[in-house]
Amino acid sequence: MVMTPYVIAFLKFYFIFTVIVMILFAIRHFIFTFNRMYCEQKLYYQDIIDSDLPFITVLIPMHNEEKVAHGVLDALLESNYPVEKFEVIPINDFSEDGTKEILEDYAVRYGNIHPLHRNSGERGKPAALNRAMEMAQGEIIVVFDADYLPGKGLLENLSTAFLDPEVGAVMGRVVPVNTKANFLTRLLDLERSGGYQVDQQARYNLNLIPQYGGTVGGYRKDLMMGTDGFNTKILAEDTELTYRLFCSGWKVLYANSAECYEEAPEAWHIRARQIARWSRGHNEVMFRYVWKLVKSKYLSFWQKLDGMFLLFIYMMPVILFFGLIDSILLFFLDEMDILEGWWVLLFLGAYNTFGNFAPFYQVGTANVIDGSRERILLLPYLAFNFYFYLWFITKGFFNALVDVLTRREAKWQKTERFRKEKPGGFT
Amino acid sequence: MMLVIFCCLLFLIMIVYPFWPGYKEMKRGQDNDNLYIKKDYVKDPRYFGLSFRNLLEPFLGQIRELSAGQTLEIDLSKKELIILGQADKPQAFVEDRITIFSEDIILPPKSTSSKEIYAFKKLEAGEMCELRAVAIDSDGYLHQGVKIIRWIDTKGCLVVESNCDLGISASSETKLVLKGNNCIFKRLFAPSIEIGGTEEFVKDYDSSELQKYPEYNDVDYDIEKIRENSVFINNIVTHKKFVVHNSATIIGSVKAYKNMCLEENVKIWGNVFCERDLVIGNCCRITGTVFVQGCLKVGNNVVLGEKGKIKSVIVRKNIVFGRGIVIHGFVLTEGVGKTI
Repeated sequence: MVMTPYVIAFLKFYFIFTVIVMILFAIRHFIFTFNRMYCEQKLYYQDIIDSDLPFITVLIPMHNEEKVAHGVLDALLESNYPVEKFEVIPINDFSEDGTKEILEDYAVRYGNIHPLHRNSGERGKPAALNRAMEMAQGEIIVVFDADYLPGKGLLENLSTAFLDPEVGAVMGRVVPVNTKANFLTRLLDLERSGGYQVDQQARYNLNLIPQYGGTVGGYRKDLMMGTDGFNTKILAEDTELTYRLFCSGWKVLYANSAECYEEAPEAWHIRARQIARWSRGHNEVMFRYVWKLVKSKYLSFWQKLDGMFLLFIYMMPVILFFGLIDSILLFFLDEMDILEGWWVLLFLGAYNTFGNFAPFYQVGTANVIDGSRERILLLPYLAFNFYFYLWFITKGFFNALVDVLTRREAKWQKTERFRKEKPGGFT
Repeated sequence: MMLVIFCCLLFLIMIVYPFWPGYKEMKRGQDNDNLYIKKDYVKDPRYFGLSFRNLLEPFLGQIRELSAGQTLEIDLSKKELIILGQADKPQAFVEDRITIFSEDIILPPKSTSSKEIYAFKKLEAGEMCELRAVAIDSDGYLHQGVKIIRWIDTKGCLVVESNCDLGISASSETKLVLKGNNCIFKRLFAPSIEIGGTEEFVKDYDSSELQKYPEYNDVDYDIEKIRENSVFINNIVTHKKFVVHNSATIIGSVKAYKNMCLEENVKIWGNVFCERDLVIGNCCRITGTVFVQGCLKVGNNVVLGEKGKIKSVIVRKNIVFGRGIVIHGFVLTEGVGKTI
């Protein structure tokens, strides 16, 4: 096949472009790792004791959550937050199992649990949260997914963030509860630790863009109600909230001490669907907020830069995916002599991006900080995870592109649960 | 040919080798537990004293039956010996025993203990005592130069003279008075903390004064100063060095990303967050929580917090307190706290 010089030039340009992008992301991850290891760590507000706690509403979206509903509700009832200062609204969103009956039972027994049952209207988490916020009495909304197990002091830990007049939302740390289930959950545990213990904390230390993750977190209700709530057309409502807040002068805090257990997916196909959904939702936000981020008068240059990196984080695997195809094509076209003299540097850069993933440093560092030891030995296997994600993240990106271009509405998909639960408790 | 085979084998080994330790860990599962989260953890500024009392609670009946000088062995996290201290020989601590005093007790100067002391009634520690940890169910008094290695907690009023080192935590259910100077601390807690107790303390302000101002619900950005004698109504977030001049009032909370200075007689009806250093001048009032990522220096006759409520003063680096200061609630520093 005869390739025109322009095509060859484009392929070579794309190769160099991919390497540069990967190096930039690698530098970002190295900076975060270095900051977490050696630099001054910024205090979060967990030590604040204040008798003027705000009234909070805890929202728990539930779609067919009979396996896990008891766990999260029992955990919240154990909370040390004054019972007269918080309410729980579990949102039964079109459930077809025993979720409704479980919630009604709790509502009868406990005066501060007020279930919301939805069988009509728009489906999905953002729509459910919007509806629940209309009946919420709290000035602060805290959201948990149904499989979470909040500790006794977690609500207080999260609520103190809002004493800061600049804080619009707060995000805690998510820890898998089913780490030992199988190979996948062990790898997800590593990813989670790197993402929270290092990445989020470093972004908080450096006053950049910590992300609100949609669960184990909270936000000011009036900020959402004043802007028509969550955008129900976007799957990643948490990322959308993050950017909406930062672009309008509010901050998202990361609370490393506000830890909560979650259930990680135990099957590869479930994880694939989850990551594709995250990619689709995140890229939808990327298309909508790139320009708003650039134009925001409330953000510094470094915050905008970090915001860009974060927006493009689910596009980076797409770039790499086509970069790999590109490099194979160039190899078989015998056109790998891209730059004379600079060749070694480019190979070094390519090796460090294709074969030496910067997130490894974050994951390794996180496990050192957490005091974990042998689990670090699983680090090389994350390379396979990355290539597994490459396909589904790319798929999610193209779905997001089609959504934006054709105004297609995404359908919400819930992550399947694996916990075996006894009535009144969990195992 | 042999060389090719050797190189291929070497290549395979190098590819597989990094995965081998991980494979062994997968099989053995040595480190596959969930990261531990203490699910029943709650913040408690009197944690040390209360948890110590809770540990001894099941044994109080037996302890009260002891005679002076008698010992009792109990099971805590390990076996511990408890001795009922003698009022006439209070210095006779035994190194490896928790000492209980059931009557008012005055510890002679330079007494030392390497285990906890629990006083059911009043306890007074003479000059230069060095005590590991003390729980007092009534009032406590520390003379000059007393060193607390870990913590001290009282149900009654705790009074501290000059040059004392209050260890990791000094707390009281009612009142804590640091009347001397040059005391060192990390954490303090009481509904009312008075620092520099020889001066006359200024009365707490009246919170009904707030009702004459309109409500605020917004944020003003990047203000550099508040003029003398003015009233500013709104929350403030500023990335500039921020100065509040004499006798100004802010109705709202403040967050400053650079150094912040409150001159004299400033009132802030809200919380204060400072990403660098904060200086609070004489006679200032802040009703809410104070949170500082840098250092905090507080002048004389300052009131922090509000009577009847618990607020916090949290400082990442050092704190220096002047005289005549009243704090309602909790003080914590990750550096060194000092009174002058």
